[in-house]
Formats: sequence, structure tokens, C-alpha cells
Amino acid sequence: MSAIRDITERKIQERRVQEANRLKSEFVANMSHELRTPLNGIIGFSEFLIDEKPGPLNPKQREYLHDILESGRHLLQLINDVLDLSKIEAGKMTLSPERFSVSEAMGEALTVIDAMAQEKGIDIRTAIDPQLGKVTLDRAKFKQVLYNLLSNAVKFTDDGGEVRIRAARSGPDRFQVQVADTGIGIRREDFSRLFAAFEQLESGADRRFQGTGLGLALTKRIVELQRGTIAVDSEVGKGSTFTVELPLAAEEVMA
Amino acid sequence: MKPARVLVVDDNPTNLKLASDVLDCAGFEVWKAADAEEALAVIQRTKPDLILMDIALPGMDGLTLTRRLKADASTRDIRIVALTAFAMKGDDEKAFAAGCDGYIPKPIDTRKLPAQIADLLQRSSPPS
Repeated sequence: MSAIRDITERKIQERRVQEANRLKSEFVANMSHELRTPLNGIIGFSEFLIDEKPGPLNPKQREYLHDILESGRHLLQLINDVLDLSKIEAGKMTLSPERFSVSEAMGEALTVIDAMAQEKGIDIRTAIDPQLGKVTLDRAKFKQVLYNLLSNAVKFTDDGGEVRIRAARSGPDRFQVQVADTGIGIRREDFSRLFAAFEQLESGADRRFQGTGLGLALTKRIVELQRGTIAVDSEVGKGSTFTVELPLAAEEVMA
Repeated sequence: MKPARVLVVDDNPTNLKLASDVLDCAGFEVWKAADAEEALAVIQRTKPDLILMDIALPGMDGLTLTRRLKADASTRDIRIVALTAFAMKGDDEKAFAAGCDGYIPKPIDTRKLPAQIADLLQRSSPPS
């Protein structure tokens, strides 16, 4: 009898946890929508002003508007990342695989990164194995992974450094994308903390790099959702290499 | 050539002002409405060439208003562009099913909006 009661109680407990988790995700989803609406006003009007549509700006005004815009975009990124993370944790992240060419998706992710790299004089080299061809994955999420890895590589590499991207098949039904930089590198003992949410290794006052601390946590979860893996290898002062391995075709994931 | 008349319908005053001012600056003749009733009043006074319509409106929602305008012979040819809240799959289909001629996901991109509207205005008139 008592064994039966234990199982029943455990089931009730499990249901309570599931319900609490569902409420949490719902709250985060609603909250991020509510936060985004005024934020879009901030970003939209700043853009409109910085483009000097209503009239000319002096250099200081342009500089401060640029700061407002950057802060606004950073906050928006943070909200989007938190929402994505909570969606994944609640099992509500959907995947809609489609056939696309890796080099095309890479090109699209690079158009955003190129501007950042050019500003720092960082050379980006891409080598995509022509044998790789097309894959069937969620294109937007694949690009999000590429974008996160590439923007990290550029962010943590000093001016004049180098970022190398390689993509090739790694098995009969899998492929690899490797992003290597000549940046500050990561200590071996920090590897495990790297993929935890809200961790940026240089935390506190000496933190040199702006970021949400969510990028890699989210990247890892998105990769794993597509039955892939992510690994890191690094040497302090020399650079880091992130390797993502994904299936050539992912299954559809419905919420 | 006379500037195209655009009616922006949005219940959020900041969003309404932003979209209106961006379009006004780009040379459109812009009218504003905060809900479906105000929009209908504007449409009676001056027939717009295009309506930029927020889907989630208090009272009568944007899709209901769209269906009403598309069912009326005197307003059927007004181009209607839905502003969809989340760039979510399904929202665009709902907008097209209600009779919208296009949709723009929120938030609007102030740098692209004028071209997006001009593009939608240039497309051949919807079949009536």
C-alpha cells in the first residue's frame, strides 16, 4: 500500500513541478513581450534621429545617440536570449528544418560579423568543403549558432587578429563547423563554466567585454536540441577553437 | 505626383508616432488612428491608399476591421498591411486569410519601412 502511495505522491509532486515550470515560462514569455514594446520605441526613435531624418546632429549628440542605440540593442539581445533559454527549458522551442546550403547561411551570418571584424582589423577566413553541400536543419537557429560563435571570436580577439572558419563532413550523416580565433583564450579549468547561463569568465570590475553571458549557454542548448554537440579547445593567450557537430538532417521538433 | 495616403492604426501611442513620423518624413501623407473606430472615421473622411494596421487593437481587432473593409466595395481596394506582434509563424497566414495584402513584423525597422510601404503600394491592385 505504502509503495502505491509513494508513487502517487511522487506523481503529484512531479505535476506540481511541471506546472510551476510552465507558469515560469509563461511569465517570462509575457514579460519579455512587455519589455520589448517600450524598448522598440527607444531603439526606433534613436535610429530615426541618428539617421538625421528630423534634422542635423552635432558630433556629441550623435555619439550619445549611438550609446543609447547600443544599450538598447544590448538589452533587446538580453531579453531575446532569456526568452529563448526559457523556451528551451520549458520544451517549447520548435525546430523547422529546411534544406539550405551551409555556405549560403555562413555568408548571411558573416554579413553582420564583417562590419565588427573590419572595425578591429580582424581577418576572417572561411573554408567550406564543397563536398558538404546542403543540410536539412532549422536555418534560423543554425545561423544563430554561427552568429554567436563568430561574434564571440571577433569580440575576444585583439585588433589585427585572425578568425578561421572551417566546415566539412565528419561522418556519414554528420558535419562539423569549427570557429578558431587568435584571441585571449580560456583556461582549461574554466571550460565547464563556459556554457553556463550568466557566466562571463572575466566577471566583476575587470570585465572588459560587453555581453549578456547567455550566448554560449543558449548556443549549447540550441545545438543539443538539434542532436548536436559543442566542444571547446583553447590556450590562454593563443586563442580558442569551438567545434560544433550537427547531423546533416535534423528532425522536426514541435512545441 | 500626389503623395500616397497612408493610415497608420496602432493603439500604442509611441509606436503610432514612430511609424507615422518615419513615413511622414519619407514624403507620405500620413493619417493616424488609435483604434478601429477612429480608423473608420478617418476612412470616411479621406480614403487612404494603404493602411498599416496593428493586429492587436482594443475593441474591434485589426483582422476584423480588415475583413470588414475588404467586404465593402467602397473600401475593398485599399491596400492593407498587417503589423504582426510576434514574428511568429501563423500570424502571417491569419493576416492573409483576413484579406491583408501584406504584413510587416514588429518592431518596424525605421530604415526599411518607407521602402516596404512604397513596394506594397506599387504592387498591382488586389483583385476586386
